[in-house]
Amino acid sequence: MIHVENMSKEFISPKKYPGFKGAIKGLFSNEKVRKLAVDRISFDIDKGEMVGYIGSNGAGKSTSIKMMTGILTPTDGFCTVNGIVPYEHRQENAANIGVVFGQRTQLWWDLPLSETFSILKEVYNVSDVDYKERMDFLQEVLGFDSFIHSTVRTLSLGQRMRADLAAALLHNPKVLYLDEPTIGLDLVVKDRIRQAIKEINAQYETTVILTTHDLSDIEELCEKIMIIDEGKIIYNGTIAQIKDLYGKRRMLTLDVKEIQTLSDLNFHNIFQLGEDKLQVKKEQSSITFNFDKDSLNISHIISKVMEKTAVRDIKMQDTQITEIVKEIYKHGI
Amino acid sequence: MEQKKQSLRQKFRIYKPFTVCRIQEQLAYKWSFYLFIFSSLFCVFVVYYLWKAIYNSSSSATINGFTLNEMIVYIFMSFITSNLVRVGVTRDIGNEVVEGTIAMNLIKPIHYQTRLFFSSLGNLLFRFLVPGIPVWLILTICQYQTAGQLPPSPFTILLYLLSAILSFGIMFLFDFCFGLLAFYTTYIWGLNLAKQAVLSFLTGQLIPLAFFPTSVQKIFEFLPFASMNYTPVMIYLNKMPGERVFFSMGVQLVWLVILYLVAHGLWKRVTKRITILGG
Amino acid sequence: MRRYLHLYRVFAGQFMKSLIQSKVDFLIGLIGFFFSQMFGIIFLSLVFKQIPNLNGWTFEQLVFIYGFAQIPRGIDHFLTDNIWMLAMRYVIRGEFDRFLLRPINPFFQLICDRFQADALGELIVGFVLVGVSVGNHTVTITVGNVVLFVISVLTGALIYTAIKLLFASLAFWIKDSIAILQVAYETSDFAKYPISIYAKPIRFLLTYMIPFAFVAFFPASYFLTGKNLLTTIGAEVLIAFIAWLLAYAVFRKGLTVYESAGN
Repeated sequence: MIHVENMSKEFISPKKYPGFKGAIKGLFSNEKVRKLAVDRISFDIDKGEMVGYIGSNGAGKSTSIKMMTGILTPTDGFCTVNGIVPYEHRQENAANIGVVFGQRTQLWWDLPLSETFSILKEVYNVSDVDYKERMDFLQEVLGFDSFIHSTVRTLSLGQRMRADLAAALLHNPKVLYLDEPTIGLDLVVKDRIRQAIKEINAQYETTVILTTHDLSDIEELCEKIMIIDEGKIIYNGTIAQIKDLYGKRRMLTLDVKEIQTLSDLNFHNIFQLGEDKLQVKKEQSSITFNFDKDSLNISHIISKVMEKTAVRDIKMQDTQITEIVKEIYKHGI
Repeated sequence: MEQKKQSLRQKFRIYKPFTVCRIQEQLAYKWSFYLFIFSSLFCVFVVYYLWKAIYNSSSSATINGFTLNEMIVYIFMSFITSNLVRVGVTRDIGNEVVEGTIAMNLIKPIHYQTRLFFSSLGNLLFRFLVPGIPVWLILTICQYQTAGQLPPSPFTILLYLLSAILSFGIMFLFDFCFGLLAFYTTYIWGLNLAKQAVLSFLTGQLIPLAFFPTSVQKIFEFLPFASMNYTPVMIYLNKMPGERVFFSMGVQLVWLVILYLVAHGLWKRVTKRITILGG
Repeated sequence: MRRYLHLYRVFAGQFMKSLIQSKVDFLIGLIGFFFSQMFGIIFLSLVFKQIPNLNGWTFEQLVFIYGFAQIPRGIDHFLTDNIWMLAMRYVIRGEFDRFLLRPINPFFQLICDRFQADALGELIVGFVLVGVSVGNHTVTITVGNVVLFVISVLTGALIYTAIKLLFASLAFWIKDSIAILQVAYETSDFAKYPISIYAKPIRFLLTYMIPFAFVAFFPASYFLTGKNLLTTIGAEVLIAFIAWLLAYAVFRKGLTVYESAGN
């Protein structure tokens, strides 16, 4: 569905000098500042896939998405979306895609929401039958009936985001780009949006590309993730795979009867592991082990604790994707 | 609310930053700002060429007491003066109302009108430098080159500046009253445009008031507009006999007082409205 | 094409609705533009008390030129005022994105986003003055003249649009072109009067560089004298055509270098 090959984007801006003298100097100087925002990235995304696109601010994810949507033209390399080069055939491409930029609405600020939908119906040339079917479906998953006659500027952030999502889906796009779709939303709305995206993907086989700072979005929705850093894709694969590769950490929390009985135990000495492979945290009535699963067996820990005191509850946690991404950013792949 | 009396020096120290800040703001615009001034000169040049053609087509060398050279000085000095006294208070108030910051600004222990006045002072000082000084220099040099005319005496220039400062005060108060309309409409841009158009005409910026029919001139004597621009420019041109100069400046003073009282009254009414309705 | 017409109707309908909601603002803007253009005529009437004619033009003729100039200006102002936003903020804030994300011509979307009711102030001045000129037989109504009038006014508006679009499109390269656009647009002030009164460089500028003389003075002078149809209205049509092609090409080129925002 999406094919990206050696795509780069370089921004060139005139060099700025500080102060009044600098402004004059800037006028006559030809010095340019080059910034390689995206550096020869390549990947493929299949029809119906939901892909999480992760990167810190300025890593290049917005820039690459903007090239895939046709807003920006790459400096080098190319991409095709559904067989179309987006930045060369913008209007053709636009008919195939839906875009939601969380921080900026695509809706008409001064119009009632209902009016926006009927304009979009014309813009995307949706037939009456399809329009009705889509509106029924979207209303069901996003629930915008209660505010459909309000002006867009008066909507709350959560309402606006649901409206934006509906607007992006009205023409049944083959690809849906979501840039921070849940930013600033409360948990209930967040969940609603996620459910809607899932259902849309299931029902229409819509390909979804999702960027977000909230990695729980991605864990919930996506099977595949791509991580971009300093303009380069540093990981492209399934979430399970990355967890396998990097998720060697496990977290074990034991609720114990008498915590003070454990106070004279030094677990680092007992298991002969350093701080890097094992961290121990004691709380009022519980003790938490954060450990490398290849170096330490869970049963060893539990039995060592149970020698001293009764265990009331055991909690075992997988590694959070957040932790992995943090780890990758810190140390690289 | 009991407010401690501040000495003038204290006051100046508190409010001076608003003036400085405004000057820095204007400097920050840089190129676009100068281009805007450049484009506002276009209008002056249209009028300049019109007058040249008018004098060419006229059988006498003076029209309504103005020679062509005097007319040229008149329109450029009008441009300089109207730029000096253009305070932008309407826009300031309008922005604060639209952004809803006005209520906040009323809470601060700073006198609102005084603050606006010191900001406007920044406008005045900046526009004295650009475009005031350069346009004046070019005008003076051109006058000397083409007509052998020297600028007026330092005493006349001093009187002009004094009168221009009075114009500035009148304009500030007028603009302040006008700006309060921002509480009733959000379309400040349109409001400003209408005001600017009317003022450019009634203050004599477009055409000397002497060109109006006598009956209309009589009405103008009872309006503050001549005091905003026409008076200082006519002083600069030495078009007023001695006692008339002081009479006109007296009129300016009277208007200053009247508008001050009006502004004060209107402000009271409007602030009552803010405290009831909320900003 | 039908889709575009339909969309245009929808946007126009929305504009009418919003107009009714903001009557006061509408009146303010209308009065603002009405006054700012009307005073020019009062100026002329005051001056003409002193002189018989201006460079050979009578007062009545000047009124016609002045009024005629308002009409293409007003039409363009009404229909494409949103072009200013391109120069002022769409590029620098990256708001142009949304025009590139829909399967509709970006220029069409740009001008559809806002109509400018203030322009009625200029149109009223224009039509009143042209009406006065017809009334006092400064110009005569014939079928041919009416047809030429319509052609001239529409192509004149297109010249305005083209000039605005050209300078606004510079924003794609320099981010904010509002000041340059302002300077270019303000030169139209010169075109309200016979260009024979200006110095040579200004005449050259208005004829060959920023061709506002072809919007107002040249066609108006045809209606006044009935002479030189080809070099006035004929030239106007040709120039409108060229100016539009040039401006639209620059706009298209600008789209490819558009950098959005947030980088």
